Amino acid sequence: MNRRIYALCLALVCLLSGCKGVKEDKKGLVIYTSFYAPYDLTKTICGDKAEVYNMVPAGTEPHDWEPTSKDMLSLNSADVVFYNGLGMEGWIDKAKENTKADFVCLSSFIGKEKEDPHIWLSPVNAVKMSEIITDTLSEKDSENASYYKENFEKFKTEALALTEEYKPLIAQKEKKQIVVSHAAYSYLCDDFGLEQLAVEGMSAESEPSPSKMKDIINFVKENDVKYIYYEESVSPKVAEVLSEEAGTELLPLNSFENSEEGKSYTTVMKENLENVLKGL
Amino acid sequence: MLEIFTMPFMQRAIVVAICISVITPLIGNTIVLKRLSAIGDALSHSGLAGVAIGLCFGFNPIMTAVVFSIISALIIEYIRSRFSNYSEMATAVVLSFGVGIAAVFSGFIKNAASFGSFLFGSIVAISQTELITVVILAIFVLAILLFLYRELLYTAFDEESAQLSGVPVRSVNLIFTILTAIVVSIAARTVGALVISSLMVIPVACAMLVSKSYKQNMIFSVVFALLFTISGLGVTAFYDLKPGGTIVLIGIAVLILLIFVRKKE
Repeated sequence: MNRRIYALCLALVCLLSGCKGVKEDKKGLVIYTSFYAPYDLTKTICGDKAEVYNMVPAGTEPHDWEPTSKDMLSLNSADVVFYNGLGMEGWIDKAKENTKADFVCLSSFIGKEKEDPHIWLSPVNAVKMSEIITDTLSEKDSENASYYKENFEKFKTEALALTEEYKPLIAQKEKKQIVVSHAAYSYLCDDFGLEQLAVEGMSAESEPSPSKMKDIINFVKENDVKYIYYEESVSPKVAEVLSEEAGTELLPLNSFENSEEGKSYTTVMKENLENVLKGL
Repeated sequence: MLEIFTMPFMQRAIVVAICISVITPLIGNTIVLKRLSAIGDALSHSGLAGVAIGLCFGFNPIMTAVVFSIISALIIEYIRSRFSNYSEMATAVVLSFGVGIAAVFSGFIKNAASFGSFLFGSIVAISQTELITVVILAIFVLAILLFLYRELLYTAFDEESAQLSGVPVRSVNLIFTILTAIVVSIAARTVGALVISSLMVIPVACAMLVSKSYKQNMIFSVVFALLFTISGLGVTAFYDLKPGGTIVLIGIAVLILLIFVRKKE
């Protein structure tokens, strides 16, 4: 009898895990990342030396995502889970309690008092995050440590070159404010001496008050702002109404929370900075 | 200080608020009498399901939302007629059905971002097309409600005696059900599900406390709805508060106040 129950449980577990099967002959580390930004950074560092799985599927707003039971099970097979922290992943505490995986927070260098979780949008921070990833991977897989290190150096050079390239260009501009639909760019703004005026707060989906709308419209008109930035993953309705009313155009900013085209971090950030420059 | 009222977005918000405040409580009056107060919630969630299905199979999501709301409303009407003493059960069943379908199908949508944009409605972010749609809808609904005024009144109070006195109860119910579904699915996408489902009930409840006849109840509920939405917009024009939530809370405050005053009398 007991055996039958045992078999049943096993079958159930197999069913729940989508019968992906046991990950046999492990080639390298099995890494899970909480959403696209940590995924891309990890992928850059580990290349093809490890298996990286992204938890939040492309096109989904990571703030609202929650893992399925299948996701929780697959986390058990992970050697390490990289997550952003600062409240970006509301589900992370539960996942930590219920799985055996090793969780590594990528925002440990940021002060606790910071409210904005979108740390990766500053290339300087992205380098620091990659450093944490590199250190963790090297520790867990010392064989490939030099390979990881090499990739990290390459990424570091690229990301910092981006900052160096755009800093003087942005510094030349007189305007220092950007009007954005989602308050995700405080770290980016810190890097480049800019200021963001956000229609909405951290969370992407809620409605602004009429008084806020008025303030932004007036600000845009007074300061001759030419572009309002919207985000593809957020409903553009508010941004559309604002730009129509204030007589501006719309430009996209990518918050790199998900990417359907599989563009790399530096490509996306270059596009973002190019668009920011255009609007100043 | 009052320049905000000259801004087109605010003017559109006010026009839409007036339209919604006129038609929603009028529908709500009959809804409340039919013991289906939660229908606004149920149908707006079915709208979600419709959007999810539309995006999954590549149909126009707004159309599928309207169609799905109508189907759900008909299901509610059917369950209600089967369990005449427990009609609130119908809304609960359809609400869970809608949420369930939306949850399952949203897992298959490649670009969930577009899912969000079809659900999102805010009274301060209304496009020109939505404005026109709402105005036409309001006129259309108002015309039908006035035309069917007596039939709806009889049916809502007592279906059996209405049938006996020659009212085509089934057709009246059918028309009313479809009308409700259309109003909820379009208005939820324009002003948000919260505003629409609360305007269907709270103004009616307030009106019940002050009016002496069915007709008065209709008129007072519209007056209350106008009061809530316009003062809600007025307050949020000067204070940085969420307009949808503010409108609902003003309604609740007025209701509590009225209950209190009535009790003292």
